[in-house]
Amino acid sequence: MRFVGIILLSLFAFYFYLSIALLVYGNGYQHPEGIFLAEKGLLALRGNPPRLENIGLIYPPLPFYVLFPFIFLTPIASPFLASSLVMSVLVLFVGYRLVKHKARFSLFLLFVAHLILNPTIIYAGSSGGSLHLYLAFLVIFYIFIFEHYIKPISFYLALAGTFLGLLVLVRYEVIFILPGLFFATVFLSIETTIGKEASYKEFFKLLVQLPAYRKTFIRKTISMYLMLFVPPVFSFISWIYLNWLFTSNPFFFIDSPHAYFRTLKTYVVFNTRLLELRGDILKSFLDVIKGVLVVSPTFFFVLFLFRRRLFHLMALFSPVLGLVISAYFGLSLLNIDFFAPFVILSFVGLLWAIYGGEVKNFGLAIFIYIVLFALSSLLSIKAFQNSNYPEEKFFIEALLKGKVEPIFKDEMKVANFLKETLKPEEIVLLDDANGYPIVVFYGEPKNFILPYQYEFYAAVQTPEIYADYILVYNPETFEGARDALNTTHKGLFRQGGRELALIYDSKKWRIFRSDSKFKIKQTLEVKR
Amino acid sequence: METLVGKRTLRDILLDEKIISEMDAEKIEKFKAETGWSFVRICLTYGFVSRKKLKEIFEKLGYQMVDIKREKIDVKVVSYLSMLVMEQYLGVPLRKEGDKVIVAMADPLDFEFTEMVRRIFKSNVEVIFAMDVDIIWVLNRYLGQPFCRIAIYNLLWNDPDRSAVLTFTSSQIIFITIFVLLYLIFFSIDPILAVVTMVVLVSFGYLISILFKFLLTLVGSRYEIQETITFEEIRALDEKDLPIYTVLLPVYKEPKVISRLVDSISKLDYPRFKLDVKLLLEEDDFETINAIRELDFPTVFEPLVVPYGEPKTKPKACDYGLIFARGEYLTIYDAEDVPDADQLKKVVAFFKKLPKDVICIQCALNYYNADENLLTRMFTLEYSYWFDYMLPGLDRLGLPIPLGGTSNHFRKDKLDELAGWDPFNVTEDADLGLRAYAKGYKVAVLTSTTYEEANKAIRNWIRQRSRWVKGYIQTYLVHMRHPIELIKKIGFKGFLGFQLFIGGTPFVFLMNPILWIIFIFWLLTKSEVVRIFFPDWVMYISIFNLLFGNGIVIYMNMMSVFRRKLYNLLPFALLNPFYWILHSIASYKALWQLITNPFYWEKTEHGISEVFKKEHRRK
Repeated sequence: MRFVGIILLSLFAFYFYLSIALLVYGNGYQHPEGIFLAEKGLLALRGNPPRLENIGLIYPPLPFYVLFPFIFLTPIASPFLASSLVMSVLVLFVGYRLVKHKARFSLFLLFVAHLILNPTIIYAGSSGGSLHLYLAFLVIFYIFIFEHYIKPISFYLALAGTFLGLLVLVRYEVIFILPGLFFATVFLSIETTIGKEASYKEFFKLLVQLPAYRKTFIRKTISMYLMLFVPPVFSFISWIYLNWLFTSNPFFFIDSPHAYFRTLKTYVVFNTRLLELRGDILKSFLDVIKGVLVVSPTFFFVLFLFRRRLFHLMALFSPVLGLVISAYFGLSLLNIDFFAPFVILSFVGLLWAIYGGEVKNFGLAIFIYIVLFALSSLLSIKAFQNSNYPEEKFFIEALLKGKVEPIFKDEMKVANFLKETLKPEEIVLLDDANGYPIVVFYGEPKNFILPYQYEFYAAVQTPEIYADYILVYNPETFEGARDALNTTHKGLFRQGGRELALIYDSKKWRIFRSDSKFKIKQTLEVKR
Repeated sequence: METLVGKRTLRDILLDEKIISEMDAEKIEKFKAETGWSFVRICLTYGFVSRKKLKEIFEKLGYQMVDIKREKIDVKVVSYLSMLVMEQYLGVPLRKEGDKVIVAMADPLDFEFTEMVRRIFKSNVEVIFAMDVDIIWVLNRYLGQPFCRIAIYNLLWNDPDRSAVLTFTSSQIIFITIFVLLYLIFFSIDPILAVVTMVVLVSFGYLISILFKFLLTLVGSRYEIQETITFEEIRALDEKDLPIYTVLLPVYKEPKVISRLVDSISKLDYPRFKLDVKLLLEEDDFETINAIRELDFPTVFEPLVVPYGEPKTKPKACDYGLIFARGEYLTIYDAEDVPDADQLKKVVAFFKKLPKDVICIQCALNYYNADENLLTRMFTLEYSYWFDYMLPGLDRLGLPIPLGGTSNHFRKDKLDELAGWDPFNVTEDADLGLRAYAKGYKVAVLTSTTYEEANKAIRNWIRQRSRWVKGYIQTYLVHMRHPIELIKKIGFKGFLGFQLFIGGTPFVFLMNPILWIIFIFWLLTKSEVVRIFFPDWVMYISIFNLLFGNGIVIYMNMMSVFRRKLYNLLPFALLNPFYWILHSIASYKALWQLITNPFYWEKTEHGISEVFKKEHRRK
């Protein structure tokens, strides 16, 4: 009966997050990452040529693959469908673990409260970014590693390792979590060797006195390291191989001008708070702790519960350390998105603290947890409202207040203009590093010459003979300065070009029509 | 010599020399009264006296041991008495010389038998001393042929469609011919599409087969620390109620390991009078027979010699042993096996717990010489993964379990019903598991281990593996003679499991080198020709196979060390792709042999391990 309940809860979660997503989208909310992934999906499905490698090989691929099947249904809604589905799977998974451990009903209720009352979790399920996948895989990883602690069979360890490996293909930031987990693994090995009753002191005594015990322990620890860390290394090598295979540069995802960490570094330069943190470990640490405290004070309560379990302390603290390291190197935006996993991790930590006998007074522990959770939900709303990142701010506004101005308002207008103007066979030249929303809103990638095509760089040199329309981003903005057309033709946006007529003008975008009599369209048409 | 007869018996001598106690003598007499076995047979079969000691005793009495295999033997004289009677007494009349009959006996002092021979032949008797194994050799060689025919043809007579005597049936040949012809027509119309289609089928088959094994491993690993039978359950067994247990030990040219084998069998924790251990020897295997004669410690087994006849395979020997088996349960151990001492009791306890439709229990196999060299390490990893994870995975999912070569324990009556093993199939164990499943019977997996010797020599390994792969293909072909009927019998889930496990295993090994060669060729040349046959979406599947297929299999092997805490082997799992090269070589050899010599039994040489040699030297 409980299993049926979990399935129903999972279905509820799916419709709940989807409904919220449709509500906020209807109110004008858009998530750039979701739209970006939708564009890559469109290129893979209906590009010229349609290829999976059109994903660009810069950003981690798994969020794209999760979203891709929904591109067949509806490109615009695909990010929401993917995030709702992944969150519902996570609900199913956590719910199943609750049932397996015969958790009290109050814990089920607390879990439901996390799903529907906490804004960061709602954001994960309904925003359409890749947070849902990061959150789900990270939580599943922790559940499996905690299960392994209670029942040390390779099944849990292997699954934990697999999910850690998959996390590398979800968000690169996971590499900053690995150092913490590296230390946690030693504690895991020790604590699964000595059991609950023996102490560390006795363990070290045995280690010194018994060579065979020492040998087995060392071998076991190395085995655990390999089980946990081979999958991330394998994912990394696979990604290098795929980069090399499709771009001829194994480190394209690092070397590309649009590389993830490179872009992050640039954003950090424009953010005074993040700039202050860069290179200052103490400030980074305090800022991250503050962030966790605001979004999930329950996390510290759970750390307190595990005060006698070094493994759990170290393992749970690893994502905190990860954020500190990335902030120190100036490689993180430290937005709420990165703090969201702590909410569910707190709940998972609480569960395993109960299962592991760390909670002596259940009622009191739950009471404190609920108070802190309520506090975190309220504080999170504030944190969203004060976020420096428009997508986070707009999400909470679209959810609580109603209409917001879409982030891609200009791009929607451009797409509508193109829909009205373009004939089916006409071609638009566009650098989709900035213009990807236009491709999505327009809906037909075959009408575009984009950077993934071989013709793109030739077309950028002489746009008037390759394209019927040329779309240029305002070079006076940071993003516009990197637009391939602006870097090749310095005055294009302001002065236009030979045989180019300005037909659309906005603050961000200008559209030129090519009046050239000679056009190279043969090859494109053949490919189409 | 005649003067001694009727005066002192073997019983008296053994008591005098304190080889047996009074209590032992009573037990032997009691067993003798119940079964009609002679005193000497009981003593030798149940380890009251060693063969070497027996020889010394009779030599002291003036009887020189005669190798009767080299003696002149008159078949008419031998066949005068019933084989079973002669077995009881361990005696056989060899020939007539004038007015006397020459009788070979393991106990020349056994007056009962000499008197019987005297009366039957109505002539004098001259007794010569021969070891039991030689007497059994004579009996089976001259009188065992009818039994041997039963052993060979039993399955063929009872269930001809399940016998591998025919590698390909005519309908299979027609099907394959039509398939090849259609493919050639397809190829001639659109060669690129034909190749692409083949590549797609191969890639999907490869991927699904590997994912299926990953699923099995995950399911199996969930029960990693679960003991199916507890120590308390074993203790609760009353020895009086234990059934007779037949243990078949097929050996061929194993003089080096024979002492170790019989020693480990003697250490089994099971009442010895309830053991029916049969050492199955081949008629032409004089090396092992002679080694048995020289055994200098008491052992629990009786020799049984399998008469010469094609096919000369292990299943034929087992079928022969099955005819003479007395046990309620029956198991098989290989020559180099060292089973857990409590294995038989565990099995009995487990059978009691299981429903009646479970007719076989498969125990885990592992190696005692894992650390000997790289090959033994890889082999141990593979075996751990197979027996500790995959078979329990099959068990939990309710899929047909291809039995492992040894340590499979049967309800004997059900084994008889299934007509035993197929002597024409070189992985008769895997085939039997499937036949049992098709009859609605089940196989369970028990957490008890039999330790074997891992092959440390590459050539020997390839020989053994080629036999296994050939057997898998044979089994696949046999059971795919009537695919619809098979689905009806084992259900769609079982059919799918059969395709992926029995068909998938050789398929992956055969395809691996082809895919690797194409990949390396493309890597070195970046040839556009390869791209023609690997359009984008096929390329994605191939890349997935290359990265995740290999990754998953390596990871599965890494997991396999945990149950047995063989942690030091884990890093070697990373070398698995190199190990697969050996698998592929063996698979192609198997494929070739399947066509040229399907029933040929590639003999694995045992006793080459350094671990074994050291033990041997100590002894």
